[in-house]
Amino acid sequence: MHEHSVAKSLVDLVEQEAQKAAAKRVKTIRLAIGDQSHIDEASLKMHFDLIAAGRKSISQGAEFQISRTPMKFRCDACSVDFEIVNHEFRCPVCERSGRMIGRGDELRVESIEVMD
Amino acid sequence: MSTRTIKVIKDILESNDLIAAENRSKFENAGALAINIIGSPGSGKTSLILQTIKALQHKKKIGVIEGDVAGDIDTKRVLAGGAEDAVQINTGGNCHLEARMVRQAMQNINLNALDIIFIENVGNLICPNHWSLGEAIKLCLISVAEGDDKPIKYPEIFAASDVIVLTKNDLIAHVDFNKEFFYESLRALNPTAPLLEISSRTGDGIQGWSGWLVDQCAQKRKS
Ligand SMILES: Nc1nc2c(ncn2[C@@H]2O[C@H](COP(=O)(O)OP(=O)(O)OP(=O)(O)O)[C@@H](O)[C@H]2O)c(=O)[nH]1
Ligand SMILES: [Mg+2]
Ligand SMILES: [Zn+2]
Repeated sequence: MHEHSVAKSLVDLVEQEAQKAAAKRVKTIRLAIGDQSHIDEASLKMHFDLIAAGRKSISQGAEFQISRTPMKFRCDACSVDFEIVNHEFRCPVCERSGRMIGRGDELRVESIEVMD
Repeated sequence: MSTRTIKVIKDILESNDLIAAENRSKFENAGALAINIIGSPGSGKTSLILQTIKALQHKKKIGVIEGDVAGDIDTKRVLAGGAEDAVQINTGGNCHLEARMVRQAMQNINLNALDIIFIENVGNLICPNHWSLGEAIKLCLISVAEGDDKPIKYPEIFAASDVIVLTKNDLIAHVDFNKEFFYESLRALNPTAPLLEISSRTGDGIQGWSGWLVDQCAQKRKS
């Protein structure tokens, strides 16, 4: 839904980092994206490509490598960690309600691979 | 051609966060408590603002920044309802407010004259959560008419909010809303945020809510 705004910020950030490193071209962008960011990867890439091409950016044509993070819960009684599956926030072992330990809301650039 | 890897580790929305930080210090320097209200379309965001203005009419000066895709109906409503000042932001299709939009709106409002400033976000439980506006308090508003499963369906906003307001409590007998389940799922996501139950229709709970708000103003001043 909001991929265009995110893509625009992403082009800005990657361009800025690549220029700071005096790179000629950006080959790969490694991203950490949480499930709760509600980002559709294909849509993000499409918007990114359009914006980068429009600006003739040095990040034009860069590939994405994305690692996804889920929202995570812990059951203290059973010492079990679990992910929210089909909206179930209760422990898969004892069915008591879990405690959230990871939001899965990342929207982060981890690194970029550049060419000189 | 040689390739090399450059470590970045930065939030994609960093540029928004930087503007949000500027907004935050402007709010703080003016002594205005900024509250970002996030909730579904029609959940009762403007009604909550109107009730709060009424409840605090001789105590607090309240301003409003209204975010809508289009139109200025809500801005007219809050001005008619006694808001000290109000400005409209039209996002032109954008599903959420961003810090730069609020920064612009702030130029048209005298923050020094205000104690509280509500920022009514675009009706949406997903997108607004990712764009900090520089608010002191992120408020999630949900009405009983939307159903008790909203926390588990939209967990992120419930997890990230500083306070949760459950409204349209007067309708509880007419809808299937299991409060026990709602509380249990909400507490799994967010064990500490205060939860206030209100009805903007009957005024039930508004005193408790506005009292909480006045306390927040006082704490803000101290810190
Ligand atoms: N019964 C009842 N109705 C309410 C309550 N609060 C709001 N409403 C009604 O719900 C409808 C929507 O209220 P608004 O305050 O305009 O909601 P909103 O969230 O600002 O709506 P948008 O800005 O369009 O997203 C109106 O018809 C209100 O009268 C409440 O506590 N009880
Ligand atoms: Mg409204
Ligand atoms: Zn368990």
